[in-house]
Parts: sequence; C-alpha cells; structure tokens
Amino acid sequence: MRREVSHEIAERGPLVRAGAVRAPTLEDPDRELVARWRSGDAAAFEALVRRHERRVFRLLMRMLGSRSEAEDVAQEAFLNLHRHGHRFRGEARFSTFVYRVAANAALNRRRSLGRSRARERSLAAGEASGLVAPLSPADPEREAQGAQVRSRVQAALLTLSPSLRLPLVLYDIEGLGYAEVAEVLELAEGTVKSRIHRARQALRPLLGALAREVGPGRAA
Amino acid sequence: MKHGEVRSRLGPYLEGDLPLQQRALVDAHLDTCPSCGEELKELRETIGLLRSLPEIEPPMGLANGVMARIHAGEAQSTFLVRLLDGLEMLLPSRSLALVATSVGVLVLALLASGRFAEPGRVSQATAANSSPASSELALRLAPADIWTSQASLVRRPLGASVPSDEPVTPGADPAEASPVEPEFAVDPQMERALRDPEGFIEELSEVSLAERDQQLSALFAQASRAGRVGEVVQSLRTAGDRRADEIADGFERISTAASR
Repeated sequence: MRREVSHEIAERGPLVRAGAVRAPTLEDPDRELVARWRSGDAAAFEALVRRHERRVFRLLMRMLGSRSEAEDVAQEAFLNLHRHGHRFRGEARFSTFVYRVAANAALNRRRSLGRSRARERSLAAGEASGLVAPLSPADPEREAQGAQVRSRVQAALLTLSPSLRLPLVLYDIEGLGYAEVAEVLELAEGTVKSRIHRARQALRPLLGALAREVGPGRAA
Repeated sequence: MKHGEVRSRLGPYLEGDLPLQQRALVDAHLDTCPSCGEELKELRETIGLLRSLPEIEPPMGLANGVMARIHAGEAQSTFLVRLLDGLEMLLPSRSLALVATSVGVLVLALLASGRFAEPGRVSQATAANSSPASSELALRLAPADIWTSQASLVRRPLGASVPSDEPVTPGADPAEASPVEPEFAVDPQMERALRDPEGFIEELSEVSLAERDQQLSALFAQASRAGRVGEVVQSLRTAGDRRADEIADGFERISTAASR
C-alpha cells in the first residue's frame, strides 16, 4: 500500500507512485469479515480492527502529531466504526469507510485540542516522526540526521490547516488515489486536487529548504 | 504558456497526469525559465520528503483496548443515533432523516406533554407561555426522557458532574429529581454558545455522545425559552466549524417545524 519513492528521480521525469494507487475493483478483501461481523460475529470485528489498525493509527499520527493522542483517537474511531458500521453499504471498499471514520475522528480531535496546543507541536512532531532510533544504528550520525529530517517534515505537516493536511496525508503518505481521497472526504475530486496542490505549495518553502540542507538522498 | 499557468500544472506534470500537448508546453517553458524550474525542483523534493516518511507501528494493545471497551458497552448508540439510523433506512438522505428525526422528537414531546402539565409543572409552563410555541415545546423537550434517562443532567453545565446526593433514576419524573429547578435562573449552555461558540463546540467534542445530546437539547431549550434561538444559530455559524453549522441547521429545522 505504501509507496517506496526513490530520490533518484530524473530532473523532469514524472514521480512514480509504484503500487500506490489501487486498481479500481469491486472486489473488497474485507467483504467476508464484514458480513460475518454483521451477522453478530464479534471475532470478525476484532479481525477487522487488527487488519486496519495500522492505517488508522498512521493517519492519526500524521494528523495529530502525538502517539498518545493518536492512540486515544484510534480507539474512539474504532468504537465509532462499531456504532456506525451498519451504515456501510458496500458501495465503496470497507477500507475507504474506515479511513472516513478515522478522518472524521481526527478532524473532531484537532478542533478539540484548541489553540493552546500549538506550542506542543514541535515536541509532538518529533514523536510523530514515527521513529524510535534503532538499537544499534549502522551509522549513528546518519540515523540522527534522518530522525531530525522526519521530525521537521512532520512539524511542517502540522503547520497546515486540517482541511489541507488531511487530503495531502491520504494522497502523498497513505498512497490513496484522487478518487478514493474524494470518497473518503466526501468531496469532489477537483476539490481534492486543488487542496493537495495548495498543501504542497504551502509546504514547498519549508521542505524545499530542508532538502537543500540535507542534500539529495539523505532526507530519510 | 505563462508562469502562473505552468506553476498550476507542476503537480500534474510531476505525477505524469498532464496530456501530452500540455506537457510539451510546460517542458518548453521550463527550458527557458529558471524560476519555474526551481519551483519544480522544490515541489519534487517536497513530495519526495512526504513520501519517504517511514512506516509507523501501532501500539501493541490497540485492538485489545478497543475490544475491551466494546465489551464494556462503550460502543452503544444513543437514542438519537439509533433513531437517525432507523430513519435513514427508510429515507433517501441523511438530511431528510434529520428533519424527520426533529419532527419525530417534537411529536414524542407533544405526546409526553400531558405529563408536564401536571400540578407542580404549571409555573414552568406558565413561564413558557410568554415565549413562542416552539419555545414551549423545546422546554418540554429538554428534560423529557426521550433524550435522556438522566433528565437532571440536561440543565447541567458542560464538565459538571452529578452530585452524589442527587437522585438520578432512569425514567423517573424530572420534577422529582429536581423539584426546585433553580437551574432555570442561569442558562450556562446558551451563555457559552453566545459568548464563545468555538469553545463551546470544542468542549462538546470532548464529551460522550449521550452527554452531547443532553447539552444540545439543554442549549435549545434555553434559547427557545429566552426567544434567542436565532441569536444562538447566528453565533454558532460564526464558529466556522462544520459541526457548529450542522447544529445551527438542526436548531433552525426544529424551530421551523415547531412553529408550524
């Protein structure tokens, strides 16, 4: 699902989203589990939680910037999923529905955090870089630089408004296609494209400078 | 192609999403424009950095925590949610279901209103007579157990807990639980919604669904009684928040339905 993007990108060549965009298909890998859950099988719901916890947590970490916040909100998101799961009618993939529930939980939480939390962002950004230093890094200096870069990327993400950050995270980090992001956010595809463009433009001065500092191929 | 046209296409250009003809025009511009070339480079680096963020492992106990809370009954729907869901099965859209729910709640409130016309509730009903019809309905609506079985919570400010010595019996007559009703002297939810709508909504987002229902019904009751529903709706709309807008829409619909 997640992309591996090489930094060795040709000067003018298109960015590759290898394996990023799922082929449009009606086949939903969760269909059977969803059907079992709906027929009252609690174990099926638990299996769905385990299958989707990674993407939900990842999205919430990128949106909220704090591991503890993300864990709290992930739990709330899954409880909401359990409450409202019957609204899923199988018109989209179940994973799209899960993303929608998680995205709403993230937006609600962001609003509730309030402005007073802004000062905590830089600390949270370090946490949300998602990295724990390896026990025996092969190259400690390089590892430290990588962690710092990831922390600054996350901090830059948190400067975006949630309405821009969410589509950007879903598209550029989660690897969804435009159509699926539009489906998750219940927006027109054109609106999604426009927001992603604005989000990238807003990040460009910050991350462009960062890339120049660390040099090509040393960003992560 | 001008700078602005080129720059607006750099994203699709990098994604390989531009039609060939447009791609050729962008290429031609980039050949002669260093500033657009620099922007392309920065954009490419920006996207590259975003896409190189590492995988994040979820906490070990996440799924277990979720299942434990479900087993503890925390995923139960509130009355309002269940009603909405039921109506959505029958109606083509959620907004119609919302309207139907509002009207349905009012009908239930009317059916229950006989109980509130008993002696001891007369003074409250009399006080409501000075308000529009919708206010009176809403006054009855707020403490009615169709919203909550803990009616005495309805008029409690956000964040306040139930005193341990106050009887809170599911299904009990609210008048028995709170015979004096001093809370009507203060309208905490309405004051908060008028003074700081953004903060009010933020606080609402931190409480349970059931408590949110209670707080909102209390807000509507207070605003109706004071004849200030319009003012509250206007204040909520200034919050610039989708949830505040939805609440404002709901209040307007209930008000309209009640005044018919």
